[in-house]
Amino acid sequence: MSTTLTATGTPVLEASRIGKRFGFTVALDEVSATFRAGEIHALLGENGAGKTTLTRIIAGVESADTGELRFAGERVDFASPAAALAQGIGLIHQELSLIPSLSVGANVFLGREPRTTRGSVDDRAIHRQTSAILRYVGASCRSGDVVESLPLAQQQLVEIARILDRRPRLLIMDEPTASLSRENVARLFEIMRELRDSGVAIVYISHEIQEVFAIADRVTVLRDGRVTMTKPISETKADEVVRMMVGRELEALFPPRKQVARSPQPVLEVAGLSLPGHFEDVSFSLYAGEVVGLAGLVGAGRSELVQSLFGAPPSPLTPRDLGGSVSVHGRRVTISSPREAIAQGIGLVPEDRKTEGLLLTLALAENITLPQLAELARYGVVDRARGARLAAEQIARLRIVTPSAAVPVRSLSGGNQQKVVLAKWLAKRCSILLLDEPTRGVDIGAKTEIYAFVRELAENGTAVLFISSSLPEILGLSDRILVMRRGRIEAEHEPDTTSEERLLSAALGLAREERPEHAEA
Amino acid sequence: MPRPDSRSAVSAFQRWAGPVWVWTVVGAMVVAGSLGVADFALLSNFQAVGQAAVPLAVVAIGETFVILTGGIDISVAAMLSLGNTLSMGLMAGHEGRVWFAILLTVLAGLAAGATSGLIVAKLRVPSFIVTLGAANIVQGIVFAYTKQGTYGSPAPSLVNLGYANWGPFPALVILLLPLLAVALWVQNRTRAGRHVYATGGDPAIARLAGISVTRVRIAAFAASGGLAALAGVVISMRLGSGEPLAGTGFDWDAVTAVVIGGTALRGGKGGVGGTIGGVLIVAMINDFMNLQGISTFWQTVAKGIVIFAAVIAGAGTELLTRRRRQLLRHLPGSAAREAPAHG
Repeated sequence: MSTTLTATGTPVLEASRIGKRFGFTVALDEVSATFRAGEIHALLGENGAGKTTLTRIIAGVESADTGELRFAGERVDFASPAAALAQGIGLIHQELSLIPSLSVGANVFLGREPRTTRGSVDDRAIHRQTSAILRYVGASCRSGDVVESLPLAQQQLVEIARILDRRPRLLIMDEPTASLSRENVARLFEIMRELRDSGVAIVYISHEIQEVFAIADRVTVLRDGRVTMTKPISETKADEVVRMMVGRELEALFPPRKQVARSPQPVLEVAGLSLPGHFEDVSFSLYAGEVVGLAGLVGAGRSELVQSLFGAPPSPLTPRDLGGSVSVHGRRVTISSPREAIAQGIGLVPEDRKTEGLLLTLALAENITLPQLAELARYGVVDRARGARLAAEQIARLRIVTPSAAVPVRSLSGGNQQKVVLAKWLAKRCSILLLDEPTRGVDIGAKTEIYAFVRELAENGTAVLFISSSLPEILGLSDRILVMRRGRIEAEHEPDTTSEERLLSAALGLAREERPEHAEA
Repeated sequence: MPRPDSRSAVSAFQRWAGPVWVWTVVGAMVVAGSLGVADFALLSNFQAVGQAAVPLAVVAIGETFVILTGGIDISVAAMLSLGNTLSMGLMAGHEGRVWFAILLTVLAGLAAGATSGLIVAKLRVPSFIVTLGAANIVQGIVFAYTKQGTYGSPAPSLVNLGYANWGPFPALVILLLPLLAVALWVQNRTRAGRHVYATGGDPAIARLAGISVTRVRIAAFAASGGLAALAGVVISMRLGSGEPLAGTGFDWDAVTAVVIGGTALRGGKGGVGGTIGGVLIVAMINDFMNLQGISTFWQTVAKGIVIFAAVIAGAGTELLTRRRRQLLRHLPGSAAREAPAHG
């Protein structure tokens, strides 16, 4: 419990030269920042720029590899978020940290339940204090409600209430408004201003640039794990901020585009596709031989869209919850399962290869041949020799570095694992290939190779739709670019006439001119 | 101030007694039995059902806590055999050794359960495998020291208690009440209880909230071991001796009672109250069949069908509510997602 608040302007938390790596990826590179009492400090950056990693380190969810944190002048290294919270650092995340099966009150007081003199949990005190804090944040739910029965917005407010009840001196809010209604956001901003005026230091992460300019006092921009700008908000403008967020060098690792004559009929035609809570009225076409990039922020609905096209929308939803229509080669189809999608010639390289793309303990050859056991089998018995030949072909073609086709996939490097997932669908020869972040966690060498294969596939007539959070990748690899925002296709860009800034602006909702045919609904 | 309404009245009932439908089934079985089964509606039969149900109730209370944390303890049958033979060996018919024997036996059960819990919590081995191993070890030890024969005997006063009725109520049922009260108090009124639900609900989030998930798990398995050993003492009051296979069948009967009683096998939901209802359902199925002279083979089939029914009902409603929530949450006009700011 910490209520001794410091005078406005004194540093509450100083992060100096914080470094953090995840495998090949440098998440944070010598990041320094100072968060002051009585200041709302916005942290901006593209997906993967390092904002969330920095706040997770400050709040004790993760620990830094290098650098140091000073909280109220003293060096700290929190072992857990509970420890950080006890010291006065509260983190409100995008992902909820509530236990769904417990009541609101039980969640607000989880791990610090007040007790009566007889030793039982003081449910009256919990009820009283929870009701008060819920009223304060403007939530309409009640202390006794079970969290999982509440709408998402109420759950988010409970999360906010849970942290505010601890009266933190440093409050980190990582996209707290994503699921809130406008009244809720307005109330939240009021609270943030009140807290600021009472001397709390607030770190605010948001993709809504207008929100940031409305509420923040200072802004720090991160790009690729480095700080590119720190300024009082009054001294900067939205376009400068966007410019500081992008501007990576375009690596010369993309294969040249070849203009392939477009066939008149699209391979895949999606019309008015909707999935409750994820995306709405999505329409686009995909032609043989083209690579289409799908840009957007995390949470825009891109992964859910490709999963749905593959017949596997996020649980508990099912393909039956999809609205709209999908046509393959001009024929309207209902894709009710991944099995059906594969039969239609659709392949998916999922975002998380380890849990969705590979059977890690099985051999490389078995993984590659998995989607086409039917073709390899005779009377139900798999022709192992043919399978081995096919696997060997793909290993050579994709230059997968492995001692043999019999080693378990688990023992390969990330880049080679990703090539195995690709090989699965190459061997299958699908006509539509959906790629979800195909180069995540892959080293540069393997990245170039993956780009080359994607291009080669397209030249051989496959239609490719790929999701990437890296704008250079989107610009370098795509023939056309679709930008998704809040579950809708916001814009369509041509790589030659657009730029990272323009793509990011569209993804952030700052530009409205791009798709005239879908003007204001 | 809490506003009393029908919804909170229902949820308070569920917190203490379990799902309404479990008790509806219990009531329906009593009515159906009284109308359709000869000799069912006799006081002596109710007393017999009660007496027979107590050892299972003791085991199932412990099992409930393990399942609430998201684990399962299938070593309770072996633990019961251990408790039964160990306590009878220590007591060997002497009145003066009753408390000493019970205390040591329960401690042995606690220690054995805590060991399983430690392995589950620290090494992250699935509890099913850990307790399967524990069951074999414990049962093996029991066979070794009993030489697979009847072993020891209870003090005469215990045997009397096993079949005694106090007024119209079986003594064992009366003696169960304080244990049940303590279990319900721990479950609903203590931090430990809250942390059991949190651990089963989402161990990662519970850990982030500063709860020692390891300690919660160890404690749950210790309680299950201790209570199973205690049930071994209880059963000696009815068997009149220590039997190395006294626990046979109690593992799955306990899990059955817990699941029928509405506790989710995934953990985090349910409680001891519903488990008591589940125990009564299992006990009455057995009683119906005994009274009708149906073989134990068919009793087993009947229990299997009841498990299917309970699990399908539970899973079905769970899936439906999750889907309904997901869809409702995002309907236009619901608070969750409004038109984009630029609309």
